[in-house]
Amino acid sequence: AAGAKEMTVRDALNSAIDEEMSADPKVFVMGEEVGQYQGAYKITKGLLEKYGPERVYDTPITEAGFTGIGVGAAYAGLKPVVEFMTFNFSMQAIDHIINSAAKSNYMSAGQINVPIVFRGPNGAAAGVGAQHSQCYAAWYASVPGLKVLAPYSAEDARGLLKAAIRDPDPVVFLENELLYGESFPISEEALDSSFCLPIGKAKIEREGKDVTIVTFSKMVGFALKAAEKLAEEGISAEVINLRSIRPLDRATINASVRKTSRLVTVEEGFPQHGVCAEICASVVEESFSYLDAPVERIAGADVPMPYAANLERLALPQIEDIVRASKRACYRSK
Amino acid sequence: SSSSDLPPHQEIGMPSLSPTMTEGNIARWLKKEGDKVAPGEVLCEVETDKATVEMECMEEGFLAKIVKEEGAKEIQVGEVIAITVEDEDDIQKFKDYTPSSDTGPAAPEAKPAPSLPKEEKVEKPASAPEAKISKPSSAPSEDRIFASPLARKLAEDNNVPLSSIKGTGPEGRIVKADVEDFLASGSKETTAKPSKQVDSKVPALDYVDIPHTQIRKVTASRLAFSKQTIPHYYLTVDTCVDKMMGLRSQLNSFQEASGGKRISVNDLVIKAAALALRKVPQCNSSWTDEYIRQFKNVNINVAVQTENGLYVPVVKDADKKGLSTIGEEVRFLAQKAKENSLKPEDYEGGTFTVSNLGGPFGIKQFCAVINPPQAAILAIGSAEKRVVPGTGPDQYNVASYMSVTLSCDHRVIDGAIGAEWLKAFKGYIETPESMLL
Repeated sequence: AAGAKEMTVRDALNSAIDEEMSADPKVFVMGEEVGQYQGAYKITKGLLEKYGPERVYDTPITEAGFTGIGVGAAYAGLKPVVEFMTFNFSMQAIDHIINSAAKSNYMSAGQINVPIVFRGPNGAAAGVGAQHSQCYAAWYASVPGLKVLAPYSAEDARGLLKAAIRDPDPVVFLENELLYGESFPISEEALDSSFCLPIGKAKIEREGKDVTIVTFSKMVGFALKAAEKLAEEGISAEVINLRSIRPLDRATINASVRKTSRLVTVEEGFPQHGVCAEICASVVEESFSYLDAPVERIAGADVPMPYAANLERLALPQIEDIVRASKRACYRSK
Repeated sequence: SSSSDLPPHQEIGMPSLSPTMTEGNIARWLKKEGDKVAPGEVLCEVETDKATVEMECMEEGFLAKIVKEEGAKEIQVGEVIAITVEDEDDIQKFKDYTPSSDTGPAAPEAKPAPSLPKEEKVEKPASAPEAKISKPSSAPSEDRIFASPLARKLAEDNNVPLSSIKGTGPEGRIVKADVEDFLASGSKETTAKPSKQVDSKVPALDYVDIPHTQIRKVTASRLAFSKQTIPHYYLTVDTCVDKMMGLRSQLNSFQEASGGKRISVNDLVIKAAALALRKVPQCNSSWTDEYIRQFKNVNINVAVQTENGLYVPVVKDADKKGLSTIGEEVRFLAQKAKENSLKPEDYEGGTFTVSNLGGPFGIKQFCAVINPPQAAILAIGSAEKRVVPGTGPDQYNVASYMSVTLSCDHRVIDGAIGAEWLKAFKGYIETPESMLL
């Protein structure tokens, strides 16, 4: 039945929350405009009608306030799904995420679980300037106690969000605004209400033998398009969709690099101390003798995101950048 | 002439038709002065640094003046090549037009190129924007060899020194594929390098390098070829030579009486071998990829060591010659070999070889290397007296025995055939009068 049905990432997220709310009365949604307005990006559409204002909670514009309430609710045994209108606003509440949510299980010697999901669009959208275009993958993935997931397809969105809601620990769930409206083929299995993906496991989206391209979220689509172009030139690229930034699936990455001997990493975030940097370190530590070329790192430009459309494009990884880097990795003089 | 006096017009500059283009040539004008031109029509063909490209007209009008004629070369980008006007009547006014050097009107692309000093013109291509990606030679020049970790490990696993591999990766880095190519090519240069290292560690040895003589080179290549391509095997048999020695002394007493030269053991061996080859002709053959050639002539090469090297002159039709003829020929050929005056006919055409280290050197037994394209060689050891058990208890006899070893090309001669040949040979040696039959 694969390929027969299609689903947008928006519907995938919406149905995942709906199903988990229906399965577990402890699950509730809170955030700005999640109820009456049906969600700024309509991810929570229809939920207020179905579950009522007690479980679909419209908050004031106070991330520092409602995130604290959410974490407190999780301490007390509920399973909040906190929506940030964008993850840029999560910086208002970062103390709650890191100090209150991520560390409590450890600091209470396992007595306090914090089963909370922080979700919302992350990274650059289009024309929203330096303050609203940031990728938080590397930020949150550097914190022990957090789990950080980043879906690409509709299947990812359903499987990972359901896993995040069911998980007993705090999960940062990084969506991408530009993917919400994109449709993906979805299997019957992924449509089943019991469907769930493992946290910490990457997906090989495309098999290849010459170069491994590792990335996540929207860049998976770019990497797949780059792989098609590379295939036309006789380069077989393997594309790995990380799905989980923390825990990072080092085993899958290293196994692939050991096979292809070449690695290109892609992320929209800044290069310094980024997810790519961590992947690079992992491969150098574990698979040094298998590398046949320097690791190529494609990241967002090391500048605050420009507002001008032409500069914004230049500041973000493009398909051509991935193609060029892959060719550099595979280069041989005649 | 100041262009301010002139009616409205467009200066058409040399276009930049490729990112690296700084100047161009006019290959051909497709429009003449006075022609009507429309957008998209080809005005002229321009030779750039890469190709000849058609230059299209951008606006409607008339070609008033061709400034750069067909064949004009090294026109800077932006330099005026032609003038167009909107009004047909204005064409005449540009008859004597020369482009102004600095006060160009409207046309923004008309740069003051014509008056550029020569030196600058020369400099321009050097500072061309796209100087390709050939970075200043950061190639692995000195002792540091750049190799990817994978290539390094692969080379180490296969005992290949990186210094013998050519890198084709970025900046000449050795990559996995280079090591694989090297291994696939089976290069033998591998051993060349380590010896250099040994030299530097071991205290200097006292030696002399002897240049190869021609014969040394030929011997080396033929014997290496023989041992590498011919599947050798060896059969050894002891032959009792008492009767042969008796016959030899008898014959030699006749020779002395008649003033002839003495018959040697070697002569008798050659004769016996020749007759054995008649009896077992499979051993008188050559291997080729298509067939085995069995010879009807029995031509026996005799190995002769000289100061210059090893020669193997040939005694032709040895099966048909008498012992004194064989003896004379061998002595004659050996002398020529020592004088280095053998002619090709003296050593070519042999079908079997005999090598004797027994008589002259006392070697008990040895295995000779086949002389290609022959299929067998006989190695003669020394004759020695041995005590052999008699028929009854406490009985013994004394007899002289000579060990001979036949080296065979198994592609041609199977073991039993080689053994049959040795049996025939042994028969002639031990019953020498049968050679008369």
